[in-house]
Amino acid sequence: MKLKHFVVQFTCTLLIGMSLFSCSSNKSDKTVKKIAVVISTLNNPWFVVLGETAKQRAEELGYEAVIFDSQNNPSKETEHFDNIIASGFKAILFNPTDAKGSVANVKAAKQAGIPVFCMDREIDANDVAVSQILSDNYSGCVLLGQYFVKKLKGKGSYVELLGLVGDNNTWNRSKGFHSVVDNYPDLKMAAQQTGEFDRNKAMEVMESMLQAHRNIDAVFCGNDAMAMGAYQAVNAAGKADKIMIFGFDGAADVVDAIRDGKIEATGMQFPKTMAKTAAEFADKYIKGDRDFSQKIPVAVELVTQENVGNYAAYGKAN
Amino acid sequence: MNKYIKITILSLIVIVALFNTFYFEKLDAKKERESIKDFNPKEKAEYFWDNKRDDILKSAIDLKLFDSQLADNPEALIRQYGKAVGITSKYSFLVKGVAMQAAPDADEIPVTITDGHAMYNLQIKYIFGNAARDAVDYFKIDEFENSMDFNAMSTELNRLIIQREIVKLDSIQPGEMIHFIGALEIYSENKPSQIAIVPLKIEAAR
Repeated sequence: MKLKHFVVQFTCTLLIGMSLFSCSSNKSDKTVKKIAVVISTLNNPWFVVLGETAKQRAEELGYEAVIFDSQNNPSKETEHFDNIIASGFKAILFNPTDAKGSVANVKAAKQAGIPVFCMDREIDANDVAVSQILSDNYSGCVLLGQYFVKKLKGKGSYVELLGLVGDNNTWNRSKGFHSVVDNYPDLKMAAQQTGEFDRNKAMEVMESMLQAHRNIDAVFCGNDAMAMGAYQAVNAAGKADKIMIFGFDGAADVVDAIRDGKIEATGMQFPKTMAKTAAEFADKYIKGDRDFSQKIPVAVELVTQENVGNYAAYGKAN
Repeated sequence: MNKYIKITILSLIVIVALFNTFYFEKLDAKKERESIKDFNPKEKAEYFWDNKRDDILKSAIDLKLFDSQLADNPEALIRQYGKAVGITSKYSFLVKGVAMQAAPDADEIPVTITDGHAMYNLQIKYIFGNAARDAVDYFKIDEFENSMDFNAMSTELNRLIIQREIVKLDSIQPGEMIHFIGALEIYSENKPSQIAIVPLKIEAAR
């Protein structure tokens, strides 16, 4: 009797154990791997497109993707990385807030075994992120600079609105532009000031510049949000017909403004290409691939009132 | 007993002090770290110009061949000779040809090709962009700490082109023939009618 009781008890225990093991292994098979998308700011539609496209592509590839907004704040970015590292994410698609300041976050992720793929903005290190997919800002602004010289016929007074001073994109754009424009001694830069890539800030700065410099012929802006802010200020001052505005990004409102003749030109970046490439690289990495180029520039194209028909917001027209 | 304790404590202090004083690093890693810290684009460009340029320019193709292949089979031309950096439809090439020295105040020299399809202009006043850097294909983006350093190589190469090559035209009379080797860029999706050539080497055809 005792033996029968023992056999029944043993069999039941075995069956329960096996079913529990089976449940838990099924559960782990079905657990969806997570990818984090960390974006410098969602206060700019261009970065919303970058983040949403990365998320969407990661989901198409079978991952759960979560977007984190750093609000252009490096401390906030560090908090996100701490949470991501603690939460079992398998990869990070990363748009940094600061070329130097963000390196420590990427290092921390690397030490935790989480691969990081930079999108659009780079970090000042070439051995911590797996790969960095970046707009070729310098070449794009060489094109813009050439067009700028052509429109101004090589002479006039202009101002420049820089982006965030800690971001390499700011300087690649400015240097590309000046590598052309500075060859023309009759083109004088009346002022250069940061608008922090922000529309409202750019509008305020432009209002001050218009007060201080009465004879401005053109404005070169380090991104499209600032171009729209500059346009608002110029329009409010009744000088929209006199002052030419040049942006950089390929944002929806600026493409429309070029079509309407309000803005002269922009450099079309391809945020969707960068975001998709980063998500696909992360997928390949998770599946075992380790062969990635550290830096991958993505070409920028010049959009003007002459060729705007070939383009839509954030890319080419279908 | 006390003596042994004292020796042990002293030994521990010495070990901790030594541990924090010395560290070991591979020589390659140290050199790489220092080269990044001491990045000097001017020096790097001049080293290329003085030691590597001539060998690399030997791979330039004749401009006539470039022109006919661009008209007949651009895909094959790009596949065989084109160089690209990153995700782009822009390709750079090294070409060589002959042109006639222009007037002293000219910005460019037209390059005539018999039965040519596109028009080519040798740039002799304003040099900018990445055509020279990308066509020579010597500088690799992954070797630079950031893209600003990589782009600084274009600035320095363009400066050398003006200071060491374009300056040679001062001693060549208008109407005299010159041999050149240069860099040009095209986009794969369209066949341009005007193509700018950035000179990397200029010699009088005397």
